[in-house]
Amino acid sequence: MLDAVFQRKLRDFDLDLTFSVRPGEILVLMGSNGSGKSTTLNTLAGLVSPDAGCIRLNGTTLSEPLKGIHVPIEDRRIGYVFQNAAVFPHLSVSENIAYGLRARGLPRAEVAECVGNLIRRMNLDELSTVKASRLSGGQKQRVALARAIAIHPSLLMMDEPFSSLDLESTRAVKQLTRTVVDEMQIPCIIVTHRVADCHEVGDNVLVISSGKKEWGGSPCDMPGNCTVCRCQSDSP
Amino acid sequence: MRSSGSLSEKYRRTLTYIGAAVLVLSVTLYLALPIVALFFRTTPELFFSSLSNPQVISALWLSLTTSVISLIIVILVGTPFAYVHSRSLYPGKVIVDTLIDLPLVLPPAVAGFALLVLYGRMGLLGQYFNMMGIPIAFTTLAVIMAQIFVASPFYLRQAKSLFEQFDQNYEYTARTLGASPVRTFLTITLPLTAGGLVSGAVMTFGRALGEFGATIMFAGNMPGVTQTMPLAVYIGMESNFAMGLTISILLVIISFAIMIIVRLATRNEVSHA
Repeated sequence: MLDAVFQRKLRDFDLDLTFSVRPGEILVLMGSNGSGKSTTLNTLAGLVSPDAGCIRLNGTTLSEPLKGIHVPIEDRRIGYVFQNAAVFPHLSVSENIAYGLRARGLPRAEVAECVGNLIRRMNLDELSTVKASRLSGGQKQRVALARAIAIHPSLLMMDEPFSSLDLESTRAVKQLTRTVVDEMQIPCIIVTHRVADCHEVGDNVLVISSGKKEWGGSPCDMPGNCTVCRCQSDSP
Repeated sequence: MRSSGSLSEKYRRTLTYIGAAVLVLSVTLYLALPIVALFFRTTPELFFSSLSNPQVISALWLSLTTSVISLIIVILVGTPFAYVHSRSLYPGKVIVDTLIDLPLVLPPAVAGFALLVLYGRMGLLGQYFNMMGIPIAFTTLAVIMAQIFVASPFYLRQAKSLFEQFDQNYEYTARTLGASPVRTFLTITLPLTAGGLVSGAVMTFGRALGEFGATIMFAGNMPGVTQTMPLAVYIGMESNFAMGLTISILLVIISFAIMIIVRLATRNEVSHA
């Protein structure tokens, strides 16, 4: 369970959010460009410190500035898939997936077993020895997802994971994400621009505007007049 | 009318080709002729007999060892410095940036003189080192210090620029996966910037090897102690022309090798910005 209440002063506005994500739930975070979506993920990951508030994950406090609590990034056990997937281009697919396990000092046999399982699960069998720089966008996203869940995260976060994918890859990554979250029963936050993504993968939606909550609820109840919906209906 | 038009077009194109060819040829010749002249002035027999001259061997050995030591120091200190400098905002950063670039435009003789004023026997710091029995000026240590002062900007600028342009999402990803900052640097940042760092290191080595002005001012010209190859060339011009010629050719060969390594190191460089 993720419980987040935090404030952070940004250049143009104050980020001030309160939300929770239950285990097995996918929260879709929406908002126009520069509304604070990525900063929200970065704050949860520990890349950015909040000015005030409290971020708790499964009962453990990750950040609480007033008490001087700031768990280091590497100790948070958060699987974070960045917008460009950020697969390490100099490493092979299997080395990418093994990276977090090796960093955590797991025995070699355990790493090999876990990587093998994930490679099969993500349909990456034929690509395991291929350098990540040679992968397509969809393949990179699958590798990034496998790498993120390899560390058995307590929270999965994905920043616009479908933005550069074709329809088929988008569908595949959505299905994989849904399955992973259901099986691992972890909270998941996906940042996206497309309203359609909310309906297809989201259990709940949080629309933010200039760092504040504009609307929150089930995708089915999403009003047509919130910032993001208006923008999308205006576009051709 | 049409034929005279196409004729003048043909002339214009021919003139353009001739103009371009003259331009390329004149620049190439201007750069290549002095190098070629070196090879024409010697014979293989003379070259190889001069190679066994103890002064040549001593200058070659001193140049190579001091340049390698300078390079190692520049890499070991310069890499973490460039990383910290590129990733942090601190008061006076612009001044530090300027100081990094200063040796590139400063006349090497001035650099040598400045080092002498600071570390010389009566220098601001040198007098204390001297009192502790550690003379710096006119020693092999001074050769290394002069090389570092003059050549380090080549590496620092390159490393700084690489780290500034590097896509930090790779580092953030590694951190969220559980890697410490040091592990992230060693396994992600360093391998992904290695090509550029190698080219900066090779350029630094080349500059250190060719250093003359600062060395002669700060370290002097003592055979076996501070007489590097460029200094031996200078002495050779006055007293032993064959020796000067041989060392010059050696330096040309090494410089060519350096440029080839730089090209190879940067050929397959992929942008990770």
